Amino acid sequence: MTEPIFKIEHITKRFGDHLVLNDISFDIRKGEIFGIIGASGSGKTTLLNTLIGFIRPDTGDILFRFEHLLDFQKAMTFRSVFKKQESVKRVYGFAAQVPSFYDNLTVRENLEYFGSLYNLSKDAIKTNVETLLNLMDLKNSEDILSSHLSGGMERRLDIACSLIHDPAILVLDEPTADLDPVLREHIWTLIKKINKKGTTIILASHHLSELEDLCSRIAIVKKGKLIDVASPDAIKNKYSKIQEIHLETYPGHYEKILKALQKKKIKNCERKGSEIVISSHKPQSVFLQLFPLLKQLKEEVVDLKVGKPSLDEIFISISKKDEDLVEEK
Amino acid sequence: MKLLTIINKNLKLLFRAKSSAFIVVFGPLLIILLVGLALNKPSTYDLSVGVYAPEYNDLTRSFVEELQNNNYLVEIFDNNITCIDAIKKATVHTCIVFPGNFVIRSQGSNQVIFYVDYSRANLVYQIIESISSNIDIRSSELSYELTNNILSRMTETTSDVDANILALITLKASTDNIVANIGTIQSNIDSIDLDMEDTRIDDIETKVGETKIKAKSLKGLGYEAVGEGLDLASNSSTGDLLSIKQELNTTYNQTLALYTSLDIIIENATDIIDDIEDKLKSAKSSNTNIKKSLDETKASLNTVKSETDTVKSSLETINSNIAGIEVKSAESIVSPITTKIEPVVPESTQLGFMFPFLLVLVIMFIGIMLSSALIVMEKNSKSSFRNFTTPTKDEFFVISTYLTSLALLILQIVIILGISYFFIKSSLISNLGIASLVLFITISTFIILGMIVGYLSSTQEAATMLSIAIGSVLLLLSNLILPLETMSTLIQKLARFNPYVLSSELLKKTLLFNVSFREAGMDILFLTIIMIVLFVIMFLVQKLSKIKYLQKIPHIKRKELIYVPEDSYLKLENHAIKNLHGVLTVLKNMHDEEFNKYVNKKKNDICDWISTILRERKLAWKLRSKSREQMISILDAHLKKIEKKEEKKRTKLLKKEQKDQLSK
Repeated sequence: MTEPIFKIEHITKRFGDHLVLNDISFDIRKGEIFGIIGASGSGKTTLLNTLIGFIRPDTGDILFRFEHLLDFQKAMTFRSVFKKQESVKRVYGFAAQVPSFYDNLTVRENLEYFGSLYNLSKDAIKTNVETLLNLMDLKNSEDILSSHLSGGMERRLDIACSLIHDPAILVLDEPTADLDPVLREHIWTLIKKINKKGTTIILASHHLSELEDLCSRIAIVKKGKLIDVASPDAIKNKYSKIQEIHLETYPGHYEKILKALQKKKIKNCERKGSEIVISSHKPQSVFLQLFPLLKQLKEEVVDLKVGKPSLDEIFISISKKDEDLVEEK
Repeated sequence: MKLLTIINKNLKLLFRAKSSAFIVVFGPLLIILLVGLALNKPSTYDLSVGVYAPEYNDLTRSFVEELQNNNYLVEIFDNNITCIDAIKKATVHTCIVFPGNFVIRSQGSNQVIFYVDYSRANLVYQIIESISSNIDIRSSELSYELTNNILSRMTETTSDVDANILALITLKASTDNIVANIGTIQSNIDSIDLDMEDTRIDDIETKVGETKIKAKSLKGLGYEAVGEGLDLASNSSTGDLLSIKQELNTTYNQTLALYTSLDIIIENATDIIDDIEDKLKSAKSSNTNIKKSLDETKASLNTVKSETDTVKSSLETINSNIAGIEVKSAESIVSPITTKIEPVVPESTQLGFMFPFLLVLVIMFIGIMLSSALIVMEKNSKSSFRNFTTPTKDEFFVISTYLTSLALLILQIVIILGISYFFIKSSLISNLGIASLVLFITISTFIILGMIVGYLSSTQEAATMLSIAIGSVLLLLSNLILPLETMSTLIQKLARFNPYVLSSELLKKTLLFNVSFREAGMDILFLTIIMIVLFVIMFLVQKLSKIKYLQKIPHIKRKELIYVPEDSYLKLENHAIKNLHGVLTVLKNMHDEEFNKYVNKKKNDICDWISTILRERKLAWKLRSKSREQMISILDAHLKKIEKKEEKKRTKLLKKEQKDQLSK
């Protein structure tokens, strides 16, 4: 296991009477893609802003490991981000929910400007700008005013601006918000590419199914409270004992199939788009009843998948469980 | 390097935003150009004057001509009401009403009435002063003519008096002569003897009677002689004797006739003598009267002489008094004190005098607006968040904003001074060091003030409004609109701290009076202290603004809530609602009874959910205490509005993408 680079220690933050972060503790490891998931208003953005020292928590601390101290002074490795803000700022790049750059500067000018704010040399800025323009597929738009960029390009430029100083950590808050699926896919691909270059990525998103494939670990936050931190698979295994059967048939009289299934006492089934989803602890027993039924209804199987429920559903179930626990308490 | 990059970026942003570039760069140049053209004239005002006189005569016309000659636009009105109305309509600045029968006369006064609009507070006193001074000039001319007339009459009178004094002297001499003559006359009269001796007429009569008797006797004797002669004489001689007798008789008769005539003559002579006697008596009486009259005349002449002396003395006093008048020039009498207004500096146009005030005015407005615009532009820019994430201290952004504004303002001031040179032919060169220092402090002060405005304002509009408001207040509490001396003591005291007043006065002293550093030192120090105070305030406000900004970050509201977890769905009977469309659909299909379960006096589940889960607090507030139908209507309108916005956004994005593709 790699060493953590961030240690979040019992942070609590209130805005007035509203408890935004409630005793949150976890760590983030070097080189991983760390996802923070939660509903809107759950405290994800506050957590990210606190992580980079932007918001000071009421209690607790966030410690950051400085690379140059690592080898010869272990004891001094971790420093509070609030005490070393200027140094911390040099090691992370942050892309907020809303793209952050100057509309009236061109793509290149934006990159050069933010590069100079990090005190990079002219040569370093030039090299980094070229690299990022190519990496983010913005080379053809480098001289276009940023206000003329499309939504996807805006997002890419924003991430490029976050990477201009080649940070060790890239923090992304809802990087695919308001983007269509194609653009979202493009951004996820980019994030993977950036991560492959060795950059640790911390991201918050509500596209849970997409994070599932991307993140090495996920923190689930609900109403300012950390529910869990683990890999997507571990979370799935931990919170879901059931499996889902995704069935697509032809001609697809799903209403009839659902009625027939319910008669067979298979109740956790529903139509989701062009397929029927059956949830069960024992999929094999469902199959024993399902195939004869389909034959009887003259339905041909077009596609059949068996797997754990999506992170979305896990999240919802965790949320419910958490709520139930709270109620029980 | 970093600072230069930020300044460079600021300039690019300013110049690329066309409207701000125009306002910031060309605005002040345009203002100063317009002001220059407007005020580049001698210091008289283009005033239009309405005139009404019940009757026009030479005097009225002379006043009107006087006004016209002084470049006033004179409009003649038929009556004073239309003339006054013209002031209300602002077609004339003042209305002058001359009195009826406007002539210079000894009795009564001529009152010329001025009607003015006091609501034009900034102009009214200048109108009054300007017009009335022109009227006064004409009035003085008239007084001058009248006084001249009086003086020439006085001179004439003096010479007449002199002549009269001479005449009096002559008169006096003549009177003396007359008195002497009267004396002589009197003595002559005294010497006239009008007494008459007793006339001997009776003696003459007696003598005549005796002569008559003697003649008779003589005749008798003659007769006797003749008779004797006859007796004695021959016949030859008898004839002679008879002839002698005849002749004696004739002679006797003739003598008798003569005696008769003599008697008549004597009688007449007696009468005449009586008459003469009477006349002499009368003459004597008259003589007495004349003497009396002469005495009286003499007395009168003495009185005249005495009076003449008095008159002479009076005339001499008059002459002496007239001679004693020191001021004998009409001009000196009409205007015993003459005033001459001389500018302390040889400037000839209003612009020349007002230039320092206008320059500071431009600096003030542009400084405040430019720096506040830069701050708000940065604050509200999408990029502000990224700036915070970079290892750049706040001071860099603050100083770069200041330096950007400073650079732009200095550039503008240089251009303005260059342009103004053509208008007012003056430059800073004469007092370059102090003027540059004053300008630097002034520019810095207003830039810092603008930065405070920028940090306090959340939107560009608010910053502009606040900038204009502050600029206007500073302008109002200065000498430019109304003299400070006309304001209350408190305001006058406050105005001492007004950076506009301080800097404009300082620049005026520097540019117009060429004051030395030592003379302007205290003012410069005071202005610098104000600048430093503002600088400290600006830093505090900047820190507060940053704290406020950071507090807002977690609450950045997304345009729409994309994900609502299932457990947060709004559950109404059998419906699980996850968005506003769902709420609308359910509300439409809901019965009122069912609706009242969730929305009643005690609770409003729909509004609570919209407020807490969807975070549409404004909408929730609108929906609260509304009936189902009203809620449907509000929600429908709200969703349509959002849909419209989305449609617009999509169209815009589509256009952008098409444009990008075309450009590629």
